[in-house]
Amino acid sequence: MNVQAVVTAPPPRLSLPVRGGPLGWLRSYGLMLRFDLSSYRQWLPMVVALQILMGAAMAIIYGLYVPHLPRTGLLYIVSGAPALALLPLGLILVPSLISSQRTAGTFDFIWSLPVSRAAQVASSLTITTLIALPGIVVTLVLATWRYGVPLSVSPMVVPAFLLTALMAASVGTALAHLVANPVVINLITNILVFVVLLFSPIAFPLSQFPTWLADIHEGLPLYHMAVVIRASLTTGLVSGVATSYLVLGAWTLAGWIAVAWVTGRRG
Amino acid sequence: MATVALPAATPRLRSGPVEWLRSCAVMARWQLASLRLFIPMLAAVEVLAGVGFVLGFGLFFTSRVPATSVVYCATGVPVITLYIVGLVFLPQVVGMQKLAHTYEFLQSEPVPRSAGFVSWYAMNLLVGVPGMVASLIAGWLRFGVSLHVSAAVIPATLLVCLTSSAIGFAMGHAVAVPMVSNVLAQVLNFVAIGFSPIAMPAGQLPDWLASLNRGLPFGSMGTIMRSALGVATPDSVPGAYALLAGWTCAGLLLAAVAVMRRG
Repeated sequence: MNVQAVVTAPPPRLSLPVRGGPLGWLRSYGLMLRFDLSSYRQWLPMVVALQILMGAAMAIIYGLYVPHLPRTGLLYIVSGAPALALLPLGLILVPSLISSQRTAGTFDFIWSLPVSRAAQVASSLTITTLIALPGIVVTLVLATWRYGVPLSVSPMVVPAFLLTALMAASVGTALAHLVANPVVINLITNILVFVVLLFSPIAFPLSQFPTWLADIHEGLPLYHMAVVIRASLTTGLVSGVATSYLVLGAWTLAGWIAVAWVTGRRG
Repeated sequence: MATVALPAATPRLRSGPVEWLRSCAVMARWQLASLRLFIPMLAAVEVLAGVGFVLGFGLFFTSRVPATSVVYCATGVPVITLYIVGLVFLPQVVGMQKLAHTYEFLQSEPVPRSAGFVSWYAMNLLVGVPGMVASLIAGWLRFGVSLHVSAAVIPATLLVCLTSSAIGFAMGHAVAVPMVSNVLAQVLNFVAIGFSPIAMPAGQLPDWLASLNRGLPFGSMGTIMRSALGVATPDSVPGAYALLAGWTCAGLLLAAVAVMRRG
């Protein structure tokens, strides 16, 4: 064998496709979706169980604490149940999923993959939004069955559920990225979930709150989640739905900006 | 060749009540030191949660809060702040120790295993009592409930904390998978707050749930605290003490079997 020929032969050309442009991004997004689907699949039963526990059980607990509720009060509880089921997703599940990825080192591995980080975040948001939907529906069915109040479901239920779930997933992701220490995240969420679930204007009207607290809630997403969901399930119970959509949109966007800021940083 | 006499080994037998008390003190110091970052935060969270629960309670109602609900809230929330550390926090920390492998190290310490429980119990009281006092004051300020604090509040507080610590200790040690004991603790907390007659009268629960609660410790915790605070209770107070003592013994027995197991 002619050694000289082998040594002087030009090296084989590496044909690395440039992964840019919208097509490349879409391809990355599709690949990441497959990756995330298989890694999140094992979490799905737990997510649904926790959502039912938090959402449906919470809705039932309100009824136990406040006996002899009028029909409007019951309607408030039932139509608030989906929002109650969404909160644990944004406040507990998404942050703890991401922090467990961080502890296990999966997080660094995913970031090292040759796909754009925007595609990674978009895929994780898509999955966490979709993962929430079965839990919301089951919660709503259980609450309706418990209290026996008829709902008037409109087509607006689709954008309402999707936007609120996306908002919860986005803010949860931002929360998980902004706080570096998983133990701190755990503690924050444990405190938040208790205060937030029990005493938020989701299952009862904002008018029962003191003015200063109501004003604070006007700027937070919780009340507005309940408004858009309630508007799609009942008639004549809520007003100012457009404002609520805007506020939720703004929170979603704020979540994305925070995530973009963290993931865009190197090192 | 020089010969050196080895110092005689005088192994000291570590047994007897004095040694046990010493071990308890040492383990309590260990516990305080290893959780020093958590304890102030936990005590603050307890105070906030207790006061928040009492203040938030009124939001549920459109008009005046019914008198019965007020009394149950003012006497039930202190119980919640007392049991939460033992029942929810303790199994989580034991689970964390198992994951971090400090658990085996702690078990290898030359102290009686019961000293570990005593140190936990002391810590639970330390963290729980400020929250309990704060929620009692909040109930008095917010709703103007006039409670008559009797000396029975001391055994009631001690027993509520003891029962919850024993159950939490048993869950933490006997359940092998930390994730499972975590979830179990959260579910129990949910059941206690939402589905048991601690902060609401048993009459507001569906019948089957009320009768199920007769065997569970939560309602009895509420009963002994209410009677110690001068509120008439529909249930027998000695019966409630006996039930809680039974749960404590069962918890400690289960925990003992789990921690004494070799291999």
